[in-house]
Amino acid sequence: MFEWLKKLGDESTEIRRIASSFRDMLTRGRRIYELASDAALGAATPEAVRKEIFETDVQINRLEQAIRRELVVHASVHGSAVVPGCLVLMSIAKDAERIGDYAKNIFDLSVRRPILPGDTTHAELLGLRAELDAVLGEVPTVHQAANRDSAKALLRRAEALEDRCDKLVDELLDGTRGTPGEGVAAALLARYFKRTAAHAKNVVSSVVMPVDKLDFFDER
Amino acid sequence: MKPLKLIILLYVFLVAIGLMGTAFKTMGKAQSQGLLHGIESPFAALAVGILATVIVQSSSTTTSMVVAAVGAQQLPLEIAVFTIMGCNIGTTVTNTLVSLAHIRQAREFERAFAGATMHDFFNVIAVAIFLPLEWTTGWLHEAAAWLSAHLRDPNAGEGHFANPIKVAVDWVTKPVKELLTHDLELSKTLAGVIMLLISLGLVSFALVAITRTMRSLIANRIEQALNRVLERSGLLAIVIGAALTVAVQSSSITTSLMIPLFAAGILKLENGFPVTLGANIGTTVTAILASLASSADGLTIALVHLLFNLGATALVFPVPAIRHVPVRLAVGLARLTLRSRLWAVGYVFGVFVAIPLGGWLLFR
Repeated sequence: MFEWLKKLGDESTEIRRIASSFRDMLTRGRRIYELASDAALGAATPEAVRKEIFETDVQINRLEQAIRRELVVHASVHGSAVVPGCLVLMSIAKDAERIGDYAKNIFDLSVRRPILPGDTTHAELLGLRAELDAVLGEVPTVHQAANRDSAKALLRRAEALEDRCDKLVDELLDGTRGTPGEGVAAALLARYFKRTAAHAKNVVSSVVMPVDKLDFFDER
Repeated sequence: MKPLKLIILLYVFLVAIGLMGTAFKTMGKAQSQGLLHGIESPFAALAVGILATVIVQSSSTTTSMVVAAVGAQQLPLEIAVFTIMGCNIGTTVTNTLVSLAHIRQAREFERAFAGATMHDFFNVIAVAIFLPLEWTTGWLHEAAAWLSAHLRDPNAGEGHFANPIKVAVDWVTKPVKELLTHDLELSKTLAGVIMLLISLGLVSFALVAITRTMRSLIANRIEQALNRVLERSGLLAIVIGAALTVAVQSSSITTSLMIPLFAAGILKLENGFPVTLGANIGTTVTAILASLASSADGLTIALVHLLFNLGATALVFPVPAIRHVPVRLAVGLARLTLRSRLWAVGYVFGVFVAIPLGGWLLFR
């Protein structure tokens, strides 16, 4: 485990509380991702999930703002030793907030053109949805445990998911999958799934990477 | 371990104050007054309070020294009141200097400098009101003397007051005096100077160590308190400011901790201002602690410090129109610094060095 992470854990109950708010952001983000993708894949109507999605997104944004304020206070009180840890939390809180934003994008797509059971990409997207849901479910746990092996395993899983999303988008672009209307919606949905997985990866990467390497993954 | 360390440090602090009083008494009136020469007038006393606090960067140290000098009857109470007022102004230099760290970022600096100087303006306004009032009526030191008389055991005379803390302090100060004047046969002046230097070193050491220990001991509490202040203000913020300052024994720590929060724009000036008022009140506890190792007059001057800050807060805080004056003045000054940073440098040099130095030269 990185020294800064150890230091943060030991030094302050306040930072634990801030980290808990961060995990709350992740949990809420996962919840609205589930609602939005249900609507996008025809398991729910957009009207049924709209209110909860937008209200929860506002709560996520407020949590991020509170985390930012509290991190500035934390750094002011504890000094330079905690700055790297604060920067990491500041950065990954943005990732958690972006997961909420992508849920809204998915919801917007569900209003215009949901992917329904008759569509050729439905089963594939349903599989991606389930896998991403499982990844998002593990992110808070892995972040809290700060275990390098679990983090690496989850990163590999998220990368595999990203590859599957890319493959589907490539097939849609080649015209080997999907009808014209379905193709655009399915490509966008796969892209949103990939971006959501990427933000989940950024969060998990904080367990295994130093501050300057966060968000950067070499081309595979 | 840390609480024990804290008790030991507190004892060291009290011993240092006791030793300082003993040093003044040993030197005798003539030598002591030589040391304190030049602060016979209120303005000179005010100037010396500012300058001494700016130099040692700690009003806790200077007010404790004043308590020891007054307690040893070497500094008249009537004059010491103005030195205490000067200490109150001088202590605000620390957070103003901290705000200069943001000088390269214009908007950040504007906010940080305003956050720091609203404390200065409040203390200067308080002195502008209370100095003439005290000079003409003497109400502050008379009220403190009345309070001091009621706080102490009315049946115990000066010579018979069995203050257990003073007894514990005497365990150290008396043998030191004996060693220097009797065993080593040093002159009273030399022995007094040696004791004064030792006590000055010990006071500074003890206060710095107490502040550091307490800061590490209650860092989480400080953080929780500051997080509360971000959301709301008012009387609670005054209580938070006072409690934090009592805990860390330094108003500079409390007010300086807020500077990055002002700079980042996450703490509004209006929300931070009551905390600085609380810090002013909380810092008076150091002098009251010091008076435990001193005499009745020592307690009286410590209470002067408390009453002065309570009075100033009671005068300024309740009425929003008055409460906003120091904040608006600070904002105005900070805007000037956007035009040229020389305003900031000139302000710090003028208020904390040039004016008090000029005042002392003029009125001594």
